[in-house]
Amino acid sequence: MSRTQLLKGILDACIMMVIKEQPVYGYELALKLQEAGLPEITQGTIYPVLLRLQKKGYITSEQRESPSGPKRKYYFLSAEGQDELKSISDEWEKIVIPVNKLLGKGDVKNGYD
Amino acid sequence: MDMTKALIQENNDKRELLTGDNKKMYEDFLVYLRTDLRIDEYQGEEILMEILNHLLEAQADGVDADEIFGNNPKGFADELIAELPSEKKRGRTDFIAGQFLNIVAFLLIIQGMLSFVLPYFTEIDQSVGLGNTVLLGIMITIIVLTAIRVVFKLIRQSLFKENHKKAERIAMLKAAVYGMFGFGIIMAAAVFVPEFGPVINVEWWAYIIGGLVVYVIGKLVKK
Repeated sequence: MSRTQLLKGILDACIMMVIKEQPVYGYELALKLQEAGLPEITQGTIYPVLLRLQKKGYITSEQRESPSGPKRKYYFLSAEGQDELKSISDEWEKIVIPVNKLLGKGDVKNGYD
Repeated sequence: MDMTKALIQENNDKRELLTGDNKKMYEDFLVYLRTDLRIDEYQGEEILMEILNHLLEAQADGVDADEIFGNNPKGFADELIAELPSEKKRGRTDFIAGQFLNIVAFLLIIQGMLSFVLPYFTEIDQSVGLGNTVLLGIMITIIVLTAIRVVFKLIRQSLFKENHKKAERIAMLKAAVYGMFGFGIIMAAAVFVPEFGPVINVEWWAYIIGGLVVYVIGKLVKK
């Protein structure tokens, strides 16, 4: 399984996390994900996710004047989105610690390799 | 409706700022989305604009369109379409009814003009079988609607291809063959179906007026 496939499932949460920190528009969001160390995500993949998150009511969007240039569509995390993000990150933590152990990356809690 | 038009206009203007391969890729993507008749038009235009803005900004930063569309642009477009809300059923029915009325109006006006002009040159039988007229109207509508679907499908098949020119030529050739086939069916029906239904004899101006009335009704339906 490639890294991209593995990432796809968790991408919803990553995107919501970025939006939670600060409302962003599409291009900004793509750059922030890349800066966060996920350069293998094709930039376009954020758009199907954004549509899906909007449909579920986890994020909302609004056209706003941007500081530099034209009107842009900004995304905001809704209250439902906050709850969903919390539950995804709780689930993630339950998985990531034992998986790390199993894959021989050491005990995360003790912080050694 | 007007908001959609404004978006399309803005898209036309902004798209010109894309360069070379970026423009080619985006236009394939745009046509692929617009020819998908399931998509709600406004929502479709909105996402098209958002991605165009994205591409323009990326372009300014020296990033190519493949970075945005990935190595499978068609797959990306399909993924987007799957998440877009579909056009309301009602909108589609109105569209089909509107098309039908347009065609009927067109036929009536043509018939009116012919029965005005032709008697100057030759003796013609002004009477028409109502049954045949209705049958022809329905057949032409079905064939026109099918033609729209087929042409869209052919266009979609020719997108995202390495060899653009060749893909376009193949699509045109297929369209021509299907077109002749459809036209043949209509001609055959006009020539070979015997007259049936009540026979009417109408003055040329009555056809024209009837055609205009149907045209206006069609306009109202489409709104």
